[in-house]
Amino acid sequence: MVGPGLSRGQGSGVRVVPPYSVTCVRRLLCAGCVALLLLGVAVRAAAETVVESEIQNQLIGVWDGSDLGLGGVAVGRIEFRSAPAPMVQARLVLNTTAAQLQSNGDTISTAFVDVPRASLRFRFPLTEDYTMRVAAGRDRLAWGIGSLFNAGDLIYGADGSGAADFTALDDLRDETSWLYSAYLPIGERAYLEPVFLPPLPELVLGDELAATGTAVVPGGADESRLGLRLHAVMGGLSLEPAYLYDGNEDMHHAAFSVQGNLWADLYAAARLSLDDRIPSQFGSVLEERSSASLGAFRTFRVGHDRNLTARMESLIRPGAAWSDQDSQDAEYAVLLHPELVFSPGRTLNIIGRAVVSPLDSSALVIAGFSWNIFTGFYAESFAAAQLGDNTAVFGWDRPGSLSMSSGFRYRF
Amino acid sequence: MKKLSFLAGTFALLWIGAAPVFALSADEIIERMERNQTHPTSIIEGELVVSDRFGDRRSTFISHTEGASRFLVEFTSRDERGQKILRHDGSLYLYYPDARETIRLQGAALRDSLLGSDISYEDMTGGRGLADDYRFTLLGEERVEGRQAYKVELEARSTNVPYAKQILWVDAERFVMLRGEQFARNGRKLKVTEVLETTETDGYIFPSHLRVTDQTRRSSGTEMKITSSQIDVELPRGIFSLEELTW
Repeated sequence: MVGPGLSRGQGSGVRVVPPYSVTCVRRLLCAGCVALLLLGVAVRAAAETVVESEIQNQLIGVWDGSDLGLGGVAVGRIEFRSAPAPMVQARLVLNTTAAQLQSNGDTISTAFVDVPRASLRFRFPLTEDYTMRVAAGRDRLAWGIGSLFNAGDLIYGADGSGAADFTALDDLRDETSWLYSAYLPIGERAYLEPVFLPPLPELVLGDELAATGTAVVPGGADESRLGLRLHAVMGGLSLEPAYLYDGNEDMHHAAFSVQGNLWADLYAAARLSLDDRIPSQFGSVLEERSSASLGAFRTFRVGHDRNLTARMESLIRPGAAWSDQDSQDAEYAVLLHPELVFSPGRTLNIIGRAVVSPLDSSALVIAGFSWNIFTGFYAESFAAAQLGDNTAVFGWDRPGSLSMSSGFRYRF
Repeated sequence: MKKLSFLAGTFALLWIGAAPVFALSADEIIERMERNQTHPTSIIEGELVVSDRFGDRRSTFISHTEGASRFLVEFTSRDERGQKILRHDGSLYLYYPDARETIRLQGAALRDSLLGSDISYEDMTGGRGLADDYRFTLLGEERVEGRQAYKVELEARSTNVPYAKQILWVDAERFVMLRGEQFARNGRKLKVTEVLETTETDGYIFPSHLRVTDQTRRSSGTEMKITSSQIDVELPRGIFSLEELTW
């Protein structure tokens, strides 16, 4: 495109056009109008996107067995959500953790970036009267029922203690996956939800990278996971049967979850995993490949506006060890998760949580508080301690057995 | 004679016309008040302000209701954006968009505080009449904020309610609550509810700005304001479904 004052004419020469010809001005005005129109649309679109940010600054202390180590870390989170709309939603979350390290007297600034959520959801009318919903991208699907232990969670696993955030006020587990799912309503209080989870690509390093020349290798299609759950409410009970095939393990997983209320909120789930081998003894398969979780939850009013929330969950794995194995890596048949949250006022929560391994008499205990001082602003402090001997799953004697974190969080 | 008959007839007519006002029982007064607050359908936008000595926390919401048993409220303020509460017949569901998690509340959990306010989930979403939890006694009439009001005492039927006793002042003409006081079992006054403004929409009169003051803590209370209301409107299809809750 040539600018004003210059244009290509016929032949090999260049014809000079007066810079302010009528045609030129008209074109400029048109272009200007279009630009303004586009700018207006862009500004309006940007104004409708919801952007939320959160910064968390923490001072972290870790006992390494002989000394107390201290460090500071800042975690930033930016979330973009599409404007409320009836047919399409999008969400993008960026987490960054910033820290400074020292190495041989030099200070090194590091930042770790994570994208825990990048998803789209849309509704699609299949008929005049029936609309389904599709979700795609990195997101969370909360199957089953349970805060830390959830045998009905076929996607992320029954035991959430490895990935849990024990300083979170509400959701201990927040695992996400790249997935494609559909939501098929059945009436107003039931639905069917199929899901497809593609395999994760493999990161190739070292000699294999040199050999192949490709750093990222897609996973095989046969390593995908495919599943389905039905959720319904009947007679005061929430019921949820679910199934998932894991191509990576060549394993079929089935689970059933139920939730109801009898003085307390009660929930339970059972899970069975089978491969293609025909079992010689079903009883042994049941013992080795099954797990169950149980939970109870209730809020007690203390005085007229103080609350005490109590929760107890257990994870039962019949095929695991039922007696003390004297091993830090042992997998035990029973794990417990008790939790108490005391709210003496509207904005303060005092939290006590634990993961208890009763069979080797060890536990991880977490205690702390979260205080919502001003709108969006929190002061938080937590301490964690492992209690147990040197052969237990949780032990006092090992590095990191005692830790604490204190800081502030602001959402703006 | 004619004049006497005329006067007698007029007096009888006035007396008969006035009789229902004087003859109203406490149950009828509360029932008429609750009828005012129960709409065939409605879309209401409002805000909740929770105050303490550190300042105010403001939450905004939009709610859709159908009768007394169906209710969907979505919070639109920054801290709670996307959180929803669905009341579907006897069950209450909470949805947390961050965790994509739906929690079903039953029993005593319905009386938990909403966002740390003086209003419970049950207060917010209705679905349970006062007659289920309280016995009513008409204590008489008083003037409140320049309006004649019935004074009704509510006595708890069981210990499963947050207040052992309440006293409500109900506008004698419009049957809308003007003031309420909530008491503990030992008689200590716990909360005072003041209706600062009422609104009339499509013949329904209901509080549009109320303040609940905690009598046990200074500078502590909750205000709820309705910023817009539409009554008896057509609601989107499927609004009270789990699908809509989790959208």
